[in-house]
Amino acid sequence: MSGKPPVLQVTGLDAGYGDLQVLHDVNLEVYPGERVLIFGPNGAGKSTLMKAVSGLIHPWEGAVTFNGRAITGMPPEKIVSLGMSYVPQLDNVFANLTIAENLEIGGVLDRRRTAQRMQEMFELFPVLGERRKRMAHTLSGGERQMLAMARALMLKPALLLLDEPSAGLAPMLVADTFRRIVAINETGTAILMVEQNAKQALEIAHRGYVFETGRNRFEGTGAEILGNKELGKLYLGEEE
Amino acid sequence: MTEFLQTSIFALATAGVIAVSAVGLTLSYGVTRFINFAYGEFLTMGAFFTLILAGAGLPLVPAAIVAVLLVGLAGVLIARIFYDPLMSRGPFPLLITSVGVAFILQNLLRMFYGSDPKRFPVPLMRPWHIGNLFFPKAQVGILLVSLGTMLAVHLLLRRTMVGKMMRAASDNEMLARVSGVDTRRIINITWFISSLIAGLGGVLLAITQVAIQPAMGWSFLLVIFAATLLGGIGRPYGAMLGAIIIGVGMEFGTAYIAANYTYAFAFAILVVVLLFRPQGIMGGIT
Repeated sequence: MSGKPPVLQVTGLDAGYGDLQVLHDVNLEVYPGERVLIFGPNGAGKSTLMKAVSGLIHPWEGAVTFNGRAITGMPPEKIVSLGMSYVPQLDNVFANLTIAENLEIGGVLDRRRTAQRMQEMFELFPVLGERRKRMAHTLSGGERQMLAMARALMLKPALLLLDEPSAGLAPMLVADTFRRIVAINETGTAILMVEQNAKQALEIAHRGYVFETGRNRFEGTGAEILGNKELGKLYLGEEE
Repeated sequence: MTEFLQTSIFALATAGVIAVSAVGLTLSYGVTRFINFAYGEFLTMGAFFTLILAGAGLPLVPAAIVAVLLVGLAGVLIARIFYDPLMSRGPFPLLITSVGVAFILQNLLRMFYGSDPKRFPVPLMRPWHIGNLFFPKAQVGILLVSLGTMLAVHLLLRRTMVGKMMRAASDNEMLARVSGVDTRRIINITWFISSLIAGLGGVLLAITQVAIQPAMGWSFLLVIFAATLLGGIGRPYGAMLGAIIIGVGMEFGTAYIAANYTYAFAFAILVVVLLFRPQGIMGGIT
């Protein structure tokens, strides 16, 4: 993209679970300030890639570099301290902690700034501020997703990984979620997200990667992917 | 009426001993997700270490404090040696290992001190009298220490960052790690606190039992389980509530029904409650 070095670089990544290899020689970059989308059919290895990048599973081969630093095989608590936060698709809030406590845990690595960041999160997501003393399990699906993102933003990460941020949300909330993601991105946080709502997500993505059975299939700008007839037919539900 | 009130005093002290012990067990279960069957031996260690230190000349209270801290350290050590290497293997290897650890600890004590009951060095104290009721100082002391422990656990979990990290790790370990919580450190801290509380529970149990022997914790473990399960395992406030129900049930059952079946009342209550609420009384409330 620009001349700047990538914030995240994945090269030749192989990863899987037990004997099952899911990712095969995956390559990917995210540049500072970018919004990058990963999509593809089920079993394409999108979530596995997220886990391998965030340190939850050990890659078998290849390298993950974050801001020029090799982070391959680092534990997740170390990776988050370098400025990369991850929002899993499921179970992405501490259900039995209050909203404020969820954010405190999100900010645990920089406790001096917790109070100030929490205030900023309540400005970004006012509904969380109103319910700060409530347990997270009392929140609605949309509110939970907001809390999950707010928790991950507490350390002001340079890169935010979002795994299916619109999964299970009502259509009205999906557009809202994407708007918020753009707003977060505009504060300077690069975004790498996996989405099933690929068409809507592509409209806000600078670039996208199409994965298939754990391999890179196609990459290009949002417009290029949206304009590609074959991809449109296969993954975006378009008629010929 | 006097008998009822008098029984209540003893029931509350018994409930206190169970509550302290159950809270420690439920904390370690909450964070590590496995039921440590050697937990009863941590109680026994608390009592025996106190006995040994008191025998070396320390007064009871300082002896108990040092003993309880030692049990905390022993708990961390035991967990690192026996449990940490098995953490990723699922609950069954851990469960069996913890039973093994229980037998090792119990028999080590038996080897050194024999199976005969030893008198626990509680000084004889004149009880307070109010009307027809008498308040034994030991029982009142147990009640105060238990309440203090509950309050301390409450403040730890709600007000301190370590406590919040413990709750976060208990709630969702994966999410805690990606948030930056060093869950290994939290597990070590949890073992320390849980074992320390077990040691304290053992001292309190020893005071109520007057004589101690190496199997005391093992046999009391079932009562602790009853309170813990009753409250919904892994839920500290549930354990406190469960302890009160079990403790009161045991004392009143003993006083009014049959004196020989104290522990059986604990299970009778547990079975009846679980028939109606399999998730425990606090299940689903949090």
